[in-house]
Amino acid sequence: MSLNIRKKLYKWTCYAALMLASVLLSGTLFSSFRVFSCAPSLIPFIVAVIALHEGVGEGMIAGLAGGFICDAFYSSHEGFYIIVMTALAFLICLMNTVMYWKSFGMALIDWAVLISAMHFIHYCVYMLARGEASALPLLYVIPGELLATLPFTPFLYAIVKKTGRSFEEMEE
Amino acid sequence: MNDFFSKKTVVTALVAVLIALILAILSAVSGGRISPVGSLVNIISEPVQSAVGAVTDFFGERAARATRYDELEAENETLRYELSIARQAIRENSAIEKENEQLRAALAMRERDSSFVFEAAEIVAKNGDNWTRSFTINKGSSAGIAADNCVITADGMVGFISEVGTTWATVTALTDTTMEASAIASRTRDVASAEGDFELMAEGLFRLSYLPKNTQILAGDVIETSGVGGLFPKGIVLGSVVEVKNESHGISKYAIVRPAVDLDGINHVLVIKSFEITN
Repeated sequence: MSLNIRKKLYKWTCYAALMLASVLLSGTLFSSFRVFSCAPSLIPFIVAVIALHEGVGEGMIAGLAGGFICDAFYSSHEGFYIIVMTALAFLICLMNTVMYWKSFGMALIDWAVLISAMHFIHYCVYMLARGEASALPLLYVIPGELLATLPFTPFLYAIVKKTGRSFEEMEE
Repeated sequence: MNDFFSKKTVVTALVAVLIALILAILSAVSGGRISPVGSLVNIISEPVQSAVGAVTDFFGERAARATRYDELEAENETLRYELSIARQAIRENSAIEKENEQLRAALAMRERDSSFVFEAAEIVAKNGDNWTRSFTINKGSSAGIAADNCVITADGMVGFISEVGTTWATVTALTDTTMEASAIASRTRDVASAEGDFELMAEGLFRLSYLPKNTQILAGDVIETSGVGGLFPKGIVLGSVVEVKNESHGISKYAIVRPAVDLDGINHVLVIKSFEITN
């Protein structure tokens, strides 16, 4: 195995470990911290940061991995988060070609777009299908999840950026 | 722009669709219950979640003790030393006390209905999808737990088992939108349907639908399971009425109910594995 491939493997192992740690902490330590009855959800932010810093290919892989973890831990509708997160990672990267600005602020914008689109699609697919026409649930889930997760975003951004940068330096 | 339709992008998209299709097929073949992938993930993660929960509880207790230590330091050195010894004794006995509470609750339930067969379990994770309210417990099919088993505490019903693995199970809470149970008001004997509602779920409440238009239910009335259908035992307390309202169509009424159990504060539950259907 070449050195480059091995380093990429290590980097993605770190990203995967971060996602797994996030989902485990969300269900235990962070579950008590709720805004509008919503708990923090860290994986979408991790996917958004990876997509911002690594580009479209890696961003979609991060979306695939994050979606797989969300489907495995949260969802009884398996396959939903894989498709949605991968597609939304692609769209975020498309958006970043217009607003190309690699910073924490841009990561927050990407994440807000990803969360809003993901929950809107979830609402359309599962709640409208059950005949629940009111869009009021979206007004609880989207702002609640954004506000509950916001305090953790600076730390996550620093960790993901440091991980990516340290492997770039190793390659150089 | 060529990067967006490169080989890597297309392959990633195809892999995502393929994995999603496989998971969806596995889920459908499993009869809508947990698929082998989800089951395996939960078997692996349940001990880790228990360990993480234990570590966070450990440090939480230490932090709380440090805060109280600072408060007591202003008083007297001797009293603080005696208090720390007393706290140590309380912590050592707390596990025994929790077990005693559970066993007393089980005995009380058994005295009321000796046909109940219980399994005590601990909540290891509160599931993080903000569209649902569910918990993961540390017992599963190996302990005799099955899907649709009723989950309770000494105060009342918590929810029902929605997914079962070998060593874990998912409890769908009373306030979840997929929850539905036949219920009866203890005082007026009105039979209705207790079901989750998304807007009420955010406030920790659920609704009692299909109440007759001339219902005499008032705020404070206790709602319990009716036993109709045989899915859940009769007489398990669900909650108490907060408010009674008219449905939009005007044909019936509905009530907003507060669960008897504090769903955010519980750590231990009892699963009713079997019971006799009574009239």
